[in-house]
Amino acid sequence: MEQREFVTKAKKIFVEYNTYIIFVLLFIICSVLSDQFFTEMNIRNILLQRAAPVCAAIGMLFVILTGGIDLSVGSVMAFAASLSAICVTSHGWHFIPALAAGVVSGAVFGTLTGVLVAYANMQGFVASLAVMTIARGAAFMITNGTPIKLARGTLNILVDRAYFFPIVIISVILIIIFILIQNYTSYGRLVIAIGSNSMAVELAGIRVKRYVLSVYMLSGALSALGGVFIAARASTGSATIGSGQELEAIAACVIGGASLAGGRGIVFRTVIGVMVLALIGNIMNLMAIPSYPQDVIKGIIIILAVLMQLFTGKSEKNV
Amino acid sequence: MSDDYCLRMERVSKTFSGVPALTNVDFRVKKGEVAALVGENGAGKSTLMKILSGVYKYGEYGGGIFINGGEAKFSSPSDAENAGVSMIYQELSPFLDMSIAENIYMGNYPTNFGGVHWAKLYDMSKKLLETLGLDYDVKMTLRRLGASQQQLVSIARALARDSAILVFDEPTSSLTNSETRNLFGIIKNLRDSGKSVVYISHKLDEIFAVADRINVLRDGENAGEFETGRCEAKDIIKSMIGRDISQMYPVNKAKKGAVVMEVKNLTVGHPYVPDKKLIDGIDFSVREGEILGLVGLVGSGRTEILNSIFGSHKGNHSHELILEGKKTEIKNPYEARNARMALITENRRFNGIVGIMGIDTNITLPYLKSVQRSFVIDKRKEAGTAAKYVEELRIKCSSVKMRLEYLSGGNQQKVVFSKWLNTSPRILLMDEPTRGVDVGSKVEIYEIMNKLAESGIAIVWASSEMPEILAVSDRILVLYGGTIKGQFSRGEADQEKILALASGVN
Repeated sequence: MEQREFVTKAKKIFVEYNTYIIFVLLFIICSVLSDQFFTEMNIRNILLQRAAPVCAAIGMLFVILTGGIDLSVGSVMAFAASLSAICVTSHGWHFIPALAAGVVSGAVFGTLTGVLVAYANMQGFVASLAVMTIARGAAFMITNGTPIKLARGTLNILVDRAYFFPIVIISVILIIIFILIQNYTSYGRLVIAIGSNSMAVELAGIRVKRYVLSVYMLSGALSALGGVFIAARASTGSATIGSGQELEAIAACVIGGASLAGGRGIVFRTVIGVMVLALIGNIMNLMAIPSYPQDVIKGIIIILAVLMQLFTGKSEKNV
Repeated sequence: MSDDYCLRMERVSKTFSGVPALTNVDFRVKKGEVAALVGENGAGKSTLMKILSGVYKYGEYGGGIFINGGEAKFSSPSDAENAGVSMIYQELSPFLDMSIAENIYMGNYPTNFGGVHWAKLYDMSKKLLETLGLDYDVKMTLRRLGASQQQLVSIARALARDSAILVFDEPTSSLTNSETRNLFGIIKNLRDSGKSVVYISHKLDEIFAVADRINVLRDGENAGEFETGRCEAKDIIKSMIGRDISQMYPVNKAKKGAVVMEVKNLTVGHPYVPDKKLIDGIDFSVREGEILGLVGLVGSGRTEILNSIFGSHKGNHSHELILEGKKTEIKNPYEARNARMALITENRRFNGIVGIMGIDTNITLPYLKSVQRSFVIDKRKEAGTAAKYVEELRIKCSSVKMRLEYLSGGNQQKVVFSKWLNTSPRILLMDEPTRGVDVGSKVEIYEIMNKLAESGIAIVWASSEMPEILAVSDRILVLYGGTIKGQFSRGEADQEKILALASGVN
């Protein structure tokens, strides 16, 4: 009897914390597999590398919470990175207004998607697919297809150790802000409610369309910010960056337990989802696995992680 | 037992999770006869027909179906079709993008050399339509036909399968008057050619025009059988109602104040027929503390009226709205809520509640400002608000965080009431608020309505349950054919009179 109680309790803990458990297990496995893993330099690298995907994933989570999807993330990253780089290099802007310009451009692309979804009743998949193409094309247009090298002392200040790695700090602040938004504001509440039953929310006198528009705008702005981070790390603004980032962001949300049908998903768990993907990529690099098999292995691990979510999600009712 | 009955359903019973829907119902149709099946909403007509058409399989119901004397054991709708039972539903249009001919002979195409013999198919379809007096281009897609023409095609489909028994379920709900007369002509021809027709409708005038015999169902039981020539509408109505209004209904004692809302020239377009109006320019008003009931049969436009006022009707509609003497325009539910209106919808699970959210978050949803301090939700205040309503309306739950999907229908409905009460409305619109609610909770809901009326709220509501809407409303409007056919104060009218009006009998 006591044993059974223990089992149910363990099950409950596992269901509630499965994303974290996956993360911790992976962390331990990584530490065992490679002695270069748990070193200051490697951890720092992971954090710097993941600042951009964290931003994109948070934006994606809000879109997914409403039951939508945003495929334009990677292209918007490329456009924003290119635009910021041009502002700095060709127009001699300070890096801060250049960064702001990039973020605004992302918000504009997001607004375009949002208007199409909310007011033209287009599916998020289709609308963001179109915007994905537009943004990537626009990025190539403004850069003429050539990467723009950034001078020292401009955007790369964002990754400078002397300033305590600003992109990591910004990401952490954003994580905290969005955790608070999700839990303590009517915005966070309504986004979840819309994803669960948008008809009921609309009939409760809420202007649902505005909220739907806003999540795409948010996703655009956050992706753009991530794009500028990538440019800062590479000291280059290029129209080719960010490809596949939308899928990474979706995978992170799903590993974090978000439901693509909307209404379910938690900011912090999504961040852990990003970190799970980070660990998988990192350990394979450390073990010098070539990049093609890496993708295959990553895909398999994503499937396993999501299956685990589904199985534990099913048993939720029995607990 | 003589077997000129082409169809006999004997002692048919069916329960849904322990609740009886049909109890020992007998139903028979002769060859060459139109038998009508009437009854109030929920009397069991559609359950009976679903059994006949094989939707509910043999073994899932008690009793038996006998076709030409032999017992029929259907395990699917196609079994029923093969045995000669064809259903003609109101909006049956299965393959809109296929041609008329393809629809008529669907699953039964003439073939040659293993392929479809198109010439023969078109020829057969054309001849068949001619027997119905129709001259359509059989290669045209069904989508290009109007609702009534589509219905005629589905009759042709039934004839193509050589069905002996044709069931018409509310066939005129999307037809104009002349189309209805045309349909009746076709039905009579079918009867004269030896087919058996089952005709289901609420509309008594139609029943008298087309049926030879009338079977009445009430609460899932046989309530009477009449020959059309030897009875009057009031006999049928009496047999349809046949129950007393007990002490179940508390009376609203609120003092009636000033007119809160005036609706003028409310018009709603028909959802399927472009040039037909579902509601054709009605006017009404409601006072402080008054409970106004809208009475009408299914399809009479009650839901559309309420949603038009609340700004949530998607189709064509127009009206003038005067709130407390001021002309107001309400284009969407957001504006409606700001004008201190509330709407309790007909389909709670679909658009009334957020199932995976808790009682507390559902209650504060329409008006989060009430528990917000600047931008932040005060969760303690939110829980307090929820606790207040849980106590006041006696919502049974283990905690205010309990998810709505785990509550019973009655308790869910009380949460819906709570969420609107939290917006302190002046006008409460309700569409079937007691649907799917147990009897005990129903009484509680009437009591809540009365309490709200006493606090000065004006209530406009619709219900299909005649006894409750008659007893709880201070005043009722009877809808038929898109207009208000009658207006009664409490106690002025009895069910018979109202049902007659609502069924189009004068």
